[in-house]
This record gives sequence, C-alpha cells and structure tokens, in this order.
Amino acid sequence: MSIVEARDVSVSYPVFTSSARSLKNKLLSRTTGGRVAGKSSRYAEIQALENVSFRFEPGDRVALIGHNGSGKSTLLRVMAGIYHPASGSMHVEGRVAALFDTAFGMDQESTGYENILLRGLYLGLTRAEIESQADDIAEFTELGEFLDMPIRTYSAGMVARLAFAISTAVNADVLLVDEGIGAGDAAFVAKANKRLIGFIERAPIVVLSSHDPSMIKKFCTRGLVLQRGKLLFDGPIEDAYEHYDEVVGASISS
Amino acid sequence: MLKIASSDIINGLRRADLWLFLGWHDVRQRYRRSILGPFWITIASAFFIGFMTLVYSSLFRQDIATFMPLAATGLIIWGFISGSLVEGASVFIASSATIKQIPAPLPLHVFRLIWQQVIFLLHNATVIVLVMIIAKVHVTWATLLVIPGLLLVTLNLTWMVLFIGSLGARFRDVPVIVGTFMPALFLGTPVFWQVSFLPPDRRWVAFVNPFTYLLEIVRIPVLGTAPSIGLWSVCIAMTVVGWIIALFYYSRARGQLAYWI
Repeated sequence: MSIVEARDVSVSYPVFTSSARSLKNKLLSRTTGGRVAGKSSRYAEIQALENVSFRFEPGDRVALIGHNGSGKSTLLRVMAGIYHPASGSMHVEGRVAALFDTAFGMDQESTGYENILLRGLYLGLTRAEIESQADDIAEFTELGEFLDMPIRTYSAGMVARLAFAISTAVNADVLLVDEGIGAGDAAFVAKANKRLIGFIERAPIVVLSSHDPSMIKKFCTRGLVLQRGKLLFDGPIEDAYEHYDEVVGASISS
Repeated sequence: MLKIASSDIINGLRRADLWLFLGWHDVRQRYRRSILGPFWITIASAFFIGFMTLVYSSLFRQDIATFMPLAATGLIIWGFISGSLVEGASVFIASSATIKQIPAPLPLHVFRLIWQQVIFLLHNATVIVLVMIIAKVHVTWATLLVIPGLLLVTLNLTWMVLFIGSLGARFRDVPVIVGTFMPALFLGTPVFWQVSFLPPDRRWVAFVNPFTYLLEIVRIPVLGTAPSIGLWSVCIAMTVVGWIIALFYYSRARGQLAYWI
C-alpha cells in the first residue's frame, strides 16, 4: 500500500556565510568561548516549511499550488527523502520516483542508448527493467539511427523527446513531478500526451507542482495551497484554485 | 542513530547497478575519444616509475631489481590512497546536483568514487605485474595475501571518504586541508623507500603515520612475503575504529547534508 503522510513537517535551511563554514573560525570560537565568533559565525536560517500536515492515499492526484518560493519544491524534496525535516515526520511507503529536472543526468558525449541506461538507472530502474523497455522507448522517440549517436549532435527538441520518453517509462508507487514535463515539437504533442496520461494513471499517488493551471486541472483532483511555507488549504482542486486566487488577490490589493 | 546510518550504507550498496555504472562512466568520460582510453593511466604510471627507478635507485644506492618493485607498488598504492582522499573530501560537494535531484542514499556517492579509484588502481596494476616480471620477483603463496590486503585498504578508504566527505560538506576548509597535506604526507610515508632505510631514531616518522600500515599490507605480499600478525592487527583495528567514527559523524550529518551543499 502506498502512503505519504506528513505530520507537522517543518524545514529550515541553514545559509552559511563563508566565515561560518570555516573550520578555523569554529575552532577559534571554541577556544575563546564564543566571544570572537559573535555575529560573524552566525548563520541565517530560512524557514521553508512550517508545520505542514497531510495524508495522501492511493488514488490521490495532488497539485501543489503556490507562487515562487512558497515551498513547493522543498516539500517535494522532503517527500523524496532528499531533505530531512527539522521537526515533525514524513512517512512514505512505496517506491518513489522523482522527476524534478527531466533532462538531469543526460550526458552530452554518450549515445542515445547509453543515455537511456544512464537516466533510467538514476530514476531507480534496474538494468533488467531498462533493457526490457529500451525498444519501447526507442520506438516512441522516433529517433531511429540517431540513438547510436552522441546526444550532443541532437537538436534541443530531440533531447527533450528522449528525456521525456525515458522519464515516462518509470513505474512508481509515488510519483513526484516538479514544474511539469514537456516533450518538444507540436507534432509530437498528441502522442506525448497519450503517453503522459498512461504514465500518470499507472502510479497510485501522484504529486505535481506546476505553474500551468491547464495541466494541473487535467490531471489533479486535490489541491494543496502553500504560501511562505505554510499549508493554507487542502481540498478539491477547484476549491483550491478559488482559495489561491483569494490569497493572491488579497496580497496584491494590500 | 547508528542504525539509520548503517541502513543508509546497506541501501547504498543495494544500488550497485547505479554506482558501478557511474564509476565506469566517470573513467570513460575522462578518456573518451582518446585512442588508448583509460590505458593512458597505465602509461603515465609506467613512465613515472621508470624515471624514478633510474634516478632514485642510484641516489639510494639500491639495486634496480629490488628498488623497482618496491617503488612501483608503493607509488601505485599511494595513488589509490591519495586519489580517494583528495577527491573524497569534496565527494558530496561535487555530487550536489545529483543529491538534490535523485532520491538515493548518500553513501552511494562514496561508493561511486571508491569504485572509480579501484578502476584506476586495476589499470595501474598491470604496471606492477610488468615490473614483477622484469625484476623477477618470486611469486609465492604469500602473494595471494595481496587480495585481503587490498580489501582492507579499500574498506579503510571508504570510511575515510565517508568521514571527510561529510565533514567537507559542512566545513569548506577540509578539501583544501586534505589537498595541502597529502603531498607532505607522501614524503612521510614509505612510498619509494622502506622503514629500514631510515636510521632507528627517525623511524617513528613512518610508525606514527597510519598510511604506512595501509601501504605495507599490500606491498609486502606483492614482494612475496606474508605480512606479520602485528601489521594485520593494526589494519583491522583501523578498519573497525574508523568505521565506528565515520558512522557516528555521518549519522549526525546525514539529516542536514543536503542543505549544506
């Protein structure tokens, strides 16, 4: 059973000044009883998430809504286990796949096929799983012989196609997507959409963060509105957008 | 706490598919499109050892046949040690993009680096074999002890990288400190000399240095004799104590490491 459960999750980032990062200053501050250290060794802290609680169950298609810096990406990274909460707990059951930057891990000097393997391994697939899907991915991209060429010879659209095809080959219980996934030129969009729908429907739990309302409304049923690291609203997607517009409207008029 | 840290290690080992591939990928990347590929590593070592033998065997008034295998093994194992540690101090800093993109246990990045260094070592090992043939070193049953010896060295380097890598992510002086001190340590380690070359009142220089033991545990079997029980004990003790220290520090750092880098 796949579950994502957050209980009072708070995250604060330490932001070190260069003097706080130095071992010498740390040692000096130890020997002088902290007086020299004073302000210079202090680090700033950014509160990225504050007491966020929710529970996602199989069938949940969740959108994270909020403007830049509201904590969406941080929350996705906490769900992925990359960031650890400063307080509270995040409990995730099931296989997690994180699609944050779809082109991450693509290597310019390697061929298309090598990149399928490389990116697939990064996404947590085993070698056997990738090999069984390689033909399917190759066919979908329509790149043909180009797959034996280093991807530095590809156009940007071709790289996007390949990245998209590999990313959507993942089978996960919990799928975390940041800033949407695109797939190159217009002629390809219809085909890509079909694959994307299948991909999203396969995963029991999907959490999507995007600034594109049309994409969110197409896939998501539940919306979480975040602002300055606080969870303002959790409910049906339409209501979430209404709430978000109210909040944004309020902040603009004030 | 130590339990979580150890489970990170085990889960990291389980992703062997990924780190074995990435380690190879790093090596191939460096030599891509060159005709000899990673064998440039072998050639570079062969030249270095050749010239060193020519000059230093006469400086030390040593017979070439005894000096060459000694220096070759010493230099190549030292390369393994210092390569791992110099890059190890910034292992998490260098992997920061991957760490923030891919949910994976952090020790995976340590294994990737160690594997990459092992690949370099194996390429260099061909030089050792060549030197052993040229210098007519006697191969005995004791030569096989090179395998557990190397295993102990690798286990030690792994904890050292886990420890200094975690420390280096927080304190950015650490990579600089390691980079600065390794060359000096090279002179204080019996890389191209042996402890017996020193006058008795200077031998402490080699004995206080932990790398002396890691080097000798591999070199002594290569030269055809079995290391003493004392040497084995020192290396095993370093492995156990080192892993405890590294796991302890890592368990404290793991929760915040992703924010530091």
